Amino acid sequence: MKGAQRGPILRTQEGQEAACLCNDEESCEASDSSYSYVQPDAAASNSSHAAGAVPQAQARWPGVPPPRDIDVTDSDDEDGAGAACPSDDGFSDIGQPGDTEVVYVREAVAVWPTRSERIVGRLSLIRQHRVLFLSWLPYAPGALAPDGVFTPTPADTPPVSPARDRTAYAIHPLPLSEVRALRRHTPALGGQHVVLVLASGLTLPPLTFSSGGVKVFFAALKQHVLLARSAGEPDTYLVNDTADPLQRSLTSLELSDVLIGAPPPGASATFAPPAGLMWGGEGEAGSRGWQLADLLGDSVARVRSFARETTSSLLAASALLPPQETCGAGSAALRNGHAEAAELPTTTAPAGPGELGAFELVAPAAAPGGGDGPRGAPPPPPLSLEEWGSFLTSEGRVRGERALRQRVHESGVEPAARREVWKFLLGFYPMDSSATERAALLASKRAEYGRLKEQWRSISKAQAARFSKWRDRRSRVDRDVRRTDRAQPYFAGEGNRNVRTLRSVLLTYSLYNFDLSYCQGMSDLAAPLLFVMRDEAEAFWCFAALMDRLEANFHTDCTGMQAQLAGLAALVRLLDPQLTAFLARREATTFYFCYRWLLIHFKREFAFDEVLRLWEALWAAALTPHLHIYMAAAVLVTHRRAIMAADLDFDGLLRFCIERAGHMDLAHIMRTAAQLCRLAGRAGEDALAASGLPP
Amino acid sequence: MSYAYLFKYIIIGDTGVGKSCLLLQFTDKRFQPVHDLTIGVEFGARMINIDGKQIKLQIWDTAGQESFRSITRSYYRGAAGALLVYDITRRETFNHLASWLEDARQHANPNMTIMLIGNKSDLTHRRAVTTEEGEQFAKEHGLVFLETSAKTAHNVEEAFINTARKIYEKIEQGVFDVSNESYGIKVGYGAGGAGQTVRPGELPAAKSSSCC
Repeated sequence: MKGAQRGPILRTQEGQEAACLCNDEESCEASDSSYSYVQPDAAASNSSHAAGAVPQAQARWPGVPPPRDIDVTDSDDEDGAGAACPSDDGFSDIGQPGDTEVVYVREAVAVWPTRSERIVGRLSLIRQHRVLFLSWLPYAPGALAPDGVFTPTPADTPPVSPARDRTAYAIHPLPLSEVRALRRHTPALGGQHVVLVLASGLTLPPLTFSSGGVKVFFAALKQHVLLARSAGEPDTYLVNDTADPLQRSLTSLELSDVLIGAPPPGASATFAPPAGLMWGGEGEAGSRGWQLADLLGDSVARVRSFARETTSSLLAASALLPPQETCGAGSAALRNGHAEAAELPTTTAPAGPGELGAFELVAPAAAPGGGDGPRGAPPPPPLSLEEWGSFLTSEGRVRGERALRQRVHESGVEPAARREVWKFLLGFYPMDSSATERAALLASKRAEYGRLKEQWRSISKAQAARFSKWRDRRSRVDRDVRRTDRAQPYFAGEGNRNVRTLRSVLLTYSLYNFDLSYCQGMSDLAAPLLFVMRDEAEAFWCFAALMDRLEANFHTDCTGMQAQLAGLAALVRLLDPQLTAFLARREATTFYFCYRWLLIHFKREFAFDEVLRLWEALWAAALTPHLHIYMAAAVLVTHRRAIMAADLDFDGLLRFCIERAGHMDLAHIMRTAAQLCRLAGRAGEDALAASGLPP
Repeated sequence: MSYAYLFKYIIIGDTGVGKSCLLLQFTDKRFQPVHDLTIGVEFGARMINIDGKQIKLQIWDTAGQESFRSITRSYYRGAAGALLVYDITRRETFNHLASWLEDARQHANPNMTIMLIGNKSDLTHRRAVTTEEGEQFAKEHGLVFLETSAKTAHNVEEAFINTARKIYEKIEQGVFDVSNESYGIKVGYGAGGAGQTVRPGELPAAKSSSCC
């Protein structure tokens, strides 16, 4: 396990945070002169007194929480308030490694793209919350220090053609439920290999075990999944992931459940939703899901009651859906069999469930902190540093940007990998930059930051006394950094140096972008960046990159926010005309009640660590650059029934939205937002563009 | 909880004058020196008693920064009372009162009762605005005035309750048509019924209501 990354380890001389943490602002410099390089082994052996070393002192398995005493930067902070826990039903929240365990590892398993080329990597089986994932990652062709310094691996592994995209062969953590079969081949000459056949029918390139070990691999698999040897082909094993039949059935059911609710009592085993109701061509999976569920007998009853307990909200006859679909067999069954799932079964409701719309978007109960409804298996573990390496070419350029964005959207990034990956997601590092180019970029940006900062640090008292604009600006920043994320251990306590650093970042930005200056909300955006970067200059440039996207939110004429709100209004109009009509009646179509959500991207609505997870998904922009607006729409649409039943006026809506803070299930809302995005499709993006948002 | 009336309040004033702390002291009876700055608006509520009548105060605590104003103005709509707050240790927050007042008068209901609050009265050694100046400004603009300390809770109850008393007096005098919700007043259920016409000057009896 050790030594897979042989590159230098970046550490500060103090073995403490790499950020510039001088208390005395006059002597504080964003210099990197205190960095030193140490060898990995030295880092590991010194780990007991170098707990603050920058992460990745050791190679890490995907999804595995780091050993507490080795490579966590400020482990206390990572455990900050509000850390999500796996809920009782065993599902993990996105972004939480939770109880993740590597149950099998085999080094030097190779893929042969051609007869003469070999890519060597590590095969592992990872179990997370009862779901088994398989992963094969090519060894990173070098090692990457957190500041972007990249050192190619010495040539003790066979050379790889630089033209070959190593990353194309990586198997990112893949749930075993997606593997249909494994085939074992023992050629007369050469190593044994194993071929994976996916449920989709796709066959992956053979994984070659050069010196045996296939038996051990199968033995490890058998401990977690049921392997059935095919009668016709003795070397083919069918995979039946029996780890959790209920969960498996839920996985298959999820999509159809979301659309049409639980199957009506007495539905036939071959019950299938009308094809037109399915999103994204999942019809086959849905019908297979039902059959599977029926075969599972007892568990299907649990599934049904589970689904009935979940709250429904209605996605009313959407503008996107032809009328015949909303009165198809599925929705008719829904009306009969699922009406009791009303969110607010209240006699004061303005309309009965049937009249609110025929098309249900079944959503988990809005119960605070859990009580989640049907959902699929947890997503694969978050992107680890090691896996990140597999997305880089030998020069350190990102290959497979789309796959990377998708991966980040789906599972997020491990805390240890955030510092590096975020710089790409935010656009501070160009995706196609080489490691050498990035090192040069970082060095020059550090120097530039120092110069920018010097501009305000050189303002003397006498000058400040004659410079009221500056004094105002400074006092606003002073006042606000003291009121930003102070509940986070990283920013807590009197005289906290990180608060001071945050102040410097914001003051420097207010000079860098003098016209925009400092506005409230910016400190909320900058604090998580500093927390992740642990470095003043890096936090600054990441903040500047973020502000390049969000600057309009802070224009004093509010045009940027008005465009966002108009975009939200347009989306809701498209997705839920009935809710729109309701809001119009209540004179609430300004959507001002969603202001805070859109201004600072739900920063106040979720726990700090959840915000990190959410933001990286927003920046990944795998589906849309406006996922936050779909998120806002998702919250409203999820609660549409409650909103309309309670006949909320503007103040009621405002209060409702404010009080969602801390009571929303991030994973669910992200899923719903993605579904709405797919549902709205091109029309959604057009509606946003028409509202004045950049494409 | 039942109530006879529900009054909507807003708290306005420059950033950092202690608006959120005043609200927290009033609703939770505690002072929290370290809290997140307000983005947009926050919400709080408490029941009070005036002349044996239960009155529910629904309080909107707005963000103070200029850049949010065009949005936060929308939160003024239909407020019956406003606390206009400045910080006695920062002169500029007092200097900005006129613009806040104009904003409130322009975007809120003209019969809104406004209480001028000089907050942070515990910081006497840093005082930059005298009590007399506060009184003078209030007198000139027809406001009620109090100096408070959200930290020690000095005058905080009074600030909110005296405002409610003023509003209640206006109802008794028939200034408001309480059936019209744009005045920021709701009549509790059973007290004539929400939405039912209550003739100006006629106070419905307090009965139970389970409404928020």
